[in-house]
Amino acid sequence: MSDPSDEALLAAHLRGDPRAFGTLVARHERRIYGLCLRVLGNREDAEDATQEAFLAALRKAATFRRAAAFSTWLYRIAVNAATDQARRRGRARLATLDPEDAGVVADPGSDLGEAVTVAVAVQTALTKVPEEFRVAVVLCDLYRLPYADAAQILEVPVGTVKSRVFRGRAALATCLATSDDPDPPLGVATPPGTDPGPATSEPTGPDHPRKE
Amino acid sequence: MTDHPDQEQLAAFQAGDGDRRQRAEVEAHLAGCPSCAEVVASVEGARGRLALLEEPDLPPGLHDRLAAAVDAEAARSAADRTPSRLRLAGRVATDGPVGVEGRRERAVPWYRRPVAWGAAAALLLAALVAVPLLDRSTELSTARGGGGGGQAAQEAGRDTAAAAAGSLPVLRLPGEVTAAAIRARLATDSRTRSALEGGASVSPPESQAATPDRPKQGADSTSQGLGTSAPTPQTGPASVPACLVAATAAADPALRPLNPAFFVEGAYKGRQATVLVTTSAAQPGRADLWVFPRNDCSAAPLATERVR
Repeated sequence: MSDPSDEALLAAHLRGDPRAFGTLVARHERRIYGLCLRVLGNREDAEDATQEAFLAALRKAATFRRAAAFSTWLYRIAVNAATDQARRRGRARLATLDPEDAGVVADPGSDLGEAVTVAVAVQTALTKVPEEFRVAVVLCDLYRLPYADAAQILEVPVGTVKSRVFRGRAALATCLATSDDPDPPLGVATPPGTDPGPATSEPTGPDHPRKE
Repeated sequence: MTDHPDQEQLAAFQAGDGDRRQRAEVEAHLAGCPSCAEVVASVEGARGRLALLEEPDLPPGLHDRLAAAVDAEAARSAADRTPSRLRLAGRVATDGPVGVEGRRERAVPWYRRPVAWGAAAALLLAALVAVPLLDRSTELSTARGGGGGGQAAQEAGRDTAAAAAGSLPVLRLPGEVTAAAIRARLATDSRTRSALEGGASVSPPESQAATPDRPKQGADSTSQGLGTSAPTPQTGPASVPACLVAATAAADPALRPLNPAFFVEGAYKGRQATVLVTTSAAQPGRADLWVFPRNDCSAAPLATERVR
């Protein structure tokens, strides 16, 4: 058995294999750290949340049920750890990302320095998106998880995930559009004729009548 | 579609939902409505910008930090469970002291045991923090379980067994446990003060300790000194190692390593609490309190406060 599944490793851990959980950590640490970094926007908080996520997973290992994939279960724990960390820290330390941590995909032939700048701007804008939407965007747009998987992780209906992703992208677009402003508002581009949700503070959608 | 599609409809459209007719309706609307088209375009643009962010590399050192934290947590579980099992065994064998029952007396699930012992072995190999922790586990199990602690002493290191007679003093506070209440007690009660300042006196001999920089003062103000007043020996299942590990995990790294000074039993926000007071080897003079549910240090502290 050269490459046991996550679920098999967790079962081995519960049977007493002292190395199984460490293997799970090594397998998932980069993804979990990345998830926490994207949600929290700074390395220190992301490292703390990553640690807390794995410790929580260790403590809860016996409660894992195979109804969900291990990764779904672990992502849910990580999302909770990251949002707990954000609450502990408040907003003070958000958006202090070191460019080195931003992680970028440079288009071939493009200027890498500019790509880094843009990536940092995107990450900075992302941290200004309301948390509920931000988490959905991170899961679906950055981690490319199917909406159904994100719905399982967030324990909400699939339609809610789609709505949060849409609103998150819209908020991100607004933040990026106003990124020259040192403290851009958290306005969300809202399509006309819709009620802004509770977190969409300033609908900036075009203003025109609902019925023509 | 004369009505503008609402956000849910646009979200569903962008997610690729809907049958051909529904999608055609939205597309037709977008074609004729620049404002809605702009919203969809800007949202689509944001999605494209997100593609610039790729998965970051793991920061150097994080892998090792996670491995150490997981080992410590597993060891904490082991330390938490081991004394009660030994205690039970000791009681059967020697008809030992009563009054040490607690929630953790319940049977340890079978699958936990190998994990716990494997983790205990890992703890022995772990460096600075781990050695004093196991030593304290020894102290507690000895104090609680009569003859039962000897096995733990063998596990932890024989030469600490002789020193392993004490345990952390427990201070009982009427009313709410707060940093202010503890400060008030420190100001008026020299025994409490010496328990804090002479924290070294309740720890294993310095030759064992991994915190040689800790000031070894108040060598006479042993836990007995405090124990002869209101405080009584710690007998609950909230073991020193469990509480210390949980507090350390929650502590600002700049404070580590923490040294346990004494426990406080009282109410925290109306809830029965066990509070660990620690000093910081890294910041002399600093003291913090860590609030746990009564006799339960299995999770992160409920609250923390700087005492001084």
